[in-house]
Amino acid sequence: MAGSFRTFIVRIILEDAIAFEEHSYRFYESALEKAVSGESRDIIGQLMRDEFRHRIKLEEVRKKGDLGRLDVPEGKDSSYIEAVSCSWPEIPAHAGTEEILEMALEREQCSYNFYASMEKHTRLKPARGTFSVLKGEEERHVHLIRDRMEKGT
Amino acid sequence: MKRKSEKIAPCFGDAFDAAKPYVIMDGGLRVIDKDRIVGTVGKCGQLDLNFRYFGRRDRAERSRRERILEGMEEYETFPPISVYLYEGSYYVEDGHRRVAACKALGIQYIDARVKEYVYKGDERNIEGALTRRRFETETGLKNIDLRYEWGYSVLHRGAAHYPSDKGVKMRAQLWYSSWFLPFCTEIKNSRLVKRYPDLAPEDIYVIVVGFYDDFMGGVPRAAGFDTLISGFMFTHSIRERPLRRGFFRILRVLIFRVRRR
Repeated sequence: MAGSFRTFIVRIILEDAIAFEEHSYRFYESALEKAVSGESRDIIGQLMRDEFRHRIKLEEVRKKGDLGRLDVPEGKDSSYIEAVSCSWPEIPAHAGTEEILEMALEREQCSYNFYASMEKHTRLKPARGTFSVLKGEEERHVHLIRDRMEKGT
Repeated sequence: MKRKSEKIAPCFGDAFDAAKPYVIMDGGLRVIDKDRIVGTVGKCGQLDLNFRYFGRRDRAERSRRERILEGMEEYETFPPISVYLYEGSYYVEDGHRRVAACKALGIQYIDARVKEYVYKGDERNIEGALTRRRFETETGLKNIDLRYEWGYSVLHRGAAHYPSDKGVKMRAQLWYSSWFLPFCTEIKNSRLVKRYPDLAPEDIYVIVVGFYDDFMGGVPRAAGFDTLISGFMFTHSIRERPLRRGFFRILRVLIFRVRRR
């Protein structure tokens, strides 16, 4: 759409969000394979399950079909671009638990920004509700990882 | 051209390892899948793979065969056949002509009295056979024929916890018609059947639901069958609709290019 509004088809964004959750899942899956032990391992397992649950949630929203359009005001949507552009890095072969948690924290913050941006700009109730829930969950993940890091790995 | 030995229905005596100790269980009356009927108990060397007698072209045999075929076509009721269940396959003890008619007419399921041979050292299979009996007795559902009987514990859990205020058997019926059958149909239409070509949709159902039970403590009821299948495929790295994914990825890249200009 021409003018000051850029229109994103919700479907594309949902596909992005699903891919986002899939990358998160794979990250935690590979983190679990590394020598992460004790409580950190439980937390990573829990995060992995949560990311999978998010994927299911987003798939359900996507399936509902015609959700219309999502209008993102020009100049204010950088969080979406940033979030979509941030990638899950490969975990180095000898990475320790602390390093893994730091990487995870950075990415969870990225996910939070993504869903916060989506929630802000979506006018459609079903999609906004889902984005809001997911934003809350990512925020919880950020706290969970921070607490773990503060306690020491 | 196939040799005669390749065309003969396998013999139970050849497959069965008589040196091992077995538990013999009475499986009772069940509905079994004709594709899992593979051999014979007492007619070794006399039947072809479609359970027709070799070298019996006499009038009496033809007439018996035709009578059964016609009867089955007219939906006449026939007594159940008798079979042995051994390592996931059925061997016919009585009812070879009925099996031949089923195979000729493409009738997928047949009533059978089942006698089950389970190796005593295989605790998982013994437990599976017992779980099957428990499932069938408690739910009254005798028409689910899993290849691996340990899967009945997954079915039992699903039927027992299906949300309904009805009694056990009624709840199981609801679970079967509103959950299990549609789920199996969805599996049948998915790429999972290509991934597990040797398994029936019912067995794949056990794998999928078993995964959710282990990983998430149960199946998320709010999710649709296709979503659950898609989730399972993702976690097991089975590629799903790669063209759709590629299309959206290209679309997004194009949108970003337009935005950057």
